[in-house]
Amino acid sequence: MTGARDVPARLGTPDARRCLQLALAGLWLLDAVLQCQAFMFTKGFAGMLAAAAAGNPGWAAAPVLWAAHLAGRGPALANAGFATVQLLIALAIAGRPTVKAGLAASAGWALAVWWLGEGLGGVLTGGASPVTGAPGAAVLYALLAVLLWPGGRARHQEPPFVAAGSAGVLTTRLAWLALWGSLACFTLAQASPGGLRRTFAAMASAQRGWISAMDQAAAGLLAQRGAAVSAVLAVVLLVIAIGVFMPGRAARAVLVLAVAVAALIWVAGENFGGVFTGSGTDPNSGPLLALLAAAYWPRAAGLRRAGDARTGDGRAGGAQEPVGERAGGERPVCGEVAS
Amino acid sequence: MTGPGWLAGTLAAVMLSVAAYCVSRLICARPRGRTTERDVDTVHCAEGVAMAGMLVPSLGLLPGVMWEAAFAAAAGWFASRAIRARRRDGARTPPPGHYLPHLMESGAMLYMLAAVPAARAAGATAAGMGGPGGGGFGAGAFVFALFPLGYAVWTADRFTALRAPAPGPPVTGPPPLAPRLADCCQIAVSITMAYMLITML
Repeated sequence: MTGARDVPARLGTPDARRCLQLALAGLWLLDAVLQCQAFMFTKGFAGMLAAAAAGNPGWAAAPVLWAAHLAGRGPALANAGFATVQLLIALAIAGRPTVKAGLAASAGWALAVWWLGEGLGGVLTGGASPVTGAPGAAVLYALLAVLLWPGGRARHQEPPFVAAGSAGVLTTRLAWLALWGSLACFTLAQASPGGLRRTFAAMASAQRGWISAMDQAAAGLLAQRGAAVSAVLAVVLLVIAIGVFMPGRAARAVLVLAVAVAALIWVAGENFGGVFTGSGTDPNSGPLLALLAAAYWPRAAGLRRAGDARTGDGRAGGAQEPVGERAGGERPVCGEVAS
Repeated sequence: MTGPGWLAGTLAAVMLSVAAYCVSRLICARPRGRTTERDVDTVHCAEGVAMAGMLVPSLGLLPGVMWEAAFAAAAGWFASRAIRARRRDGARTPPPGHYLPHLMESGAMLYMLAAVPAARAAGATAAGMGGPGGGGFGAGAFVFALFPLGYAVWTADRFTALRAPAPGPPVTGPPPLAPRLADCCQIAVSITMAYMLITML
C-alpha cells in the first residue's frame, strides 16, 4: 500500500542496533496483544498478580499486594491501561523519532512490572529457577532497553558489539556476567534429586495437549537425575557467563550456546511463556535471553581487525577486543548481525 | 472471538474505518493524479470488513465460504505477483518480499475463517463449564499472529524512517497517495489480526 514503487527503495536500511530495537518493539507488541486476552479482564488477573507476592519478604510483597488489590477493583479498566501502555511503548520504539522515549518508558515500565507484577522474579523467595523464568522477563526488558539505547558515537568508534554502544565494553560484559552467573547460582540453589521432576510435573498440570505431554515426559526423564542435570546446566550457564570475555570466535560459539540454552529453557522449561494457556502475559525470558545474546554478537569487522592487529596491521585496540568498523566503512545491517 | 465486547466493538469500528478509507483511496487516487496499489487497497478493504464481521457477528455481511474464496484468490494473486517480481528486476518493480506480507495476511485470514466457527463453539463450551475461553488452536494461531506483529513493527519503522535518496536512476511518475496514512491502516490491520489470532489460543 505504501507506494511500493517508490518508498521502500528510498528508505535507509536499519543497522544491527535498530534491528534489535525493532525486535524488542515486537516483543512489547506481542505483550500488548497477550494482555488483551479475555482472562486478563477478569479478577483472575489480579489474583495472578497477588500470587507473585508469595514467599517474598514483607517490604517486597506489600507493594505487590497493593497493586493486585488496585487491579482487582477495576480489572477491565486496569488491564486496558496495561495493554495501552505496552502498545504505546512498542510503537514508540518502532518509531525512529520516538525511540529514546520508548526505550526509557520500556525500562521504567519493565522495572515496575518486575516488582509489582512478578514479585522481583522470585529471586528473594529462594525458589527462583532459570528453568521457569528467573530472574523474571520484565527485568530483561529493562536491561535490553538500556543496552539498545541509541549511541551517539562516530562511525570510527563503533563498539565491538551492539550492546557496548550504550555503556561501554567492560560495563556491558560485566552485566552479562552478572546475569548468566546469577542464573547459574539459582540453578545450583535449586539442585535436588527430585526438584526438576517436581517442577515439570507441576507445569504439566497447567498446560494442555502436546505441551502437557512434553512436560510429563520431561518429568519422567528427570526422575532422580535432577541434581546431576542441574549441575551440568549450572556449568553450562557459567561458561556462557564468562564467554563474552573470550576472543571473537570463541565468544561467538558461546553466544550460539546461549541462544540454544535460551531456546531449550523457553520450550521445555517455560512452555513458550504459557501463551497457550490463555493467561500468559508475555513470552517469558527465553526470547529475551536470545535477543540479549544477539546484542553481544561480535561484529565481523571486529574479528578482521583483531586479525590485522595480530599481523601487525592493526589500526587500534587490542587483539582480544574485536573493536570494529567495517572494511569499507559500511555499517552492518539487518540480516548481517550474525555475519 | 472471545474477549470483552467493548474491545471487539472498538476494533470492529476501526476495521470498518480502514475499509472505508481503502475504498476512498481506490476512488480518489486517479482523479488526484496519485498512484496507489489497487490490489493492496482492495484486500485491506476486504480484510477490514471480514474482520469486523468476525469480531462482531452482527456485522457479518457475507457467508464465511465467500470470504474464504475471496482470500484464497487474494493469496493466489499475491503469490503470483511475488513470483513475477522475482523474474523481473527493474527500478519500478517492487522486490518480491513486498508481496509476501500480503500473502501471509491472506493466509492468516483463511486460517481465521476456518477456525472461527470452531473457536466460537469451543469458547461457548468452556464458558459453560466455567473454564477459560479460547479455541485451543495453539501453534498455528501463534505463528500466524507473530507475522502481522513483526510486520506492524517493521511498517512503523519504515513509516518514520528518514528518507534517503534512492540508489540508481530517479523514480519518475506520479507520487503515491497518502503513504503514511496507508501505513497507519496497515499497522491497524496487522495488530487487529494478531489480536484475533491470539484470542484463538
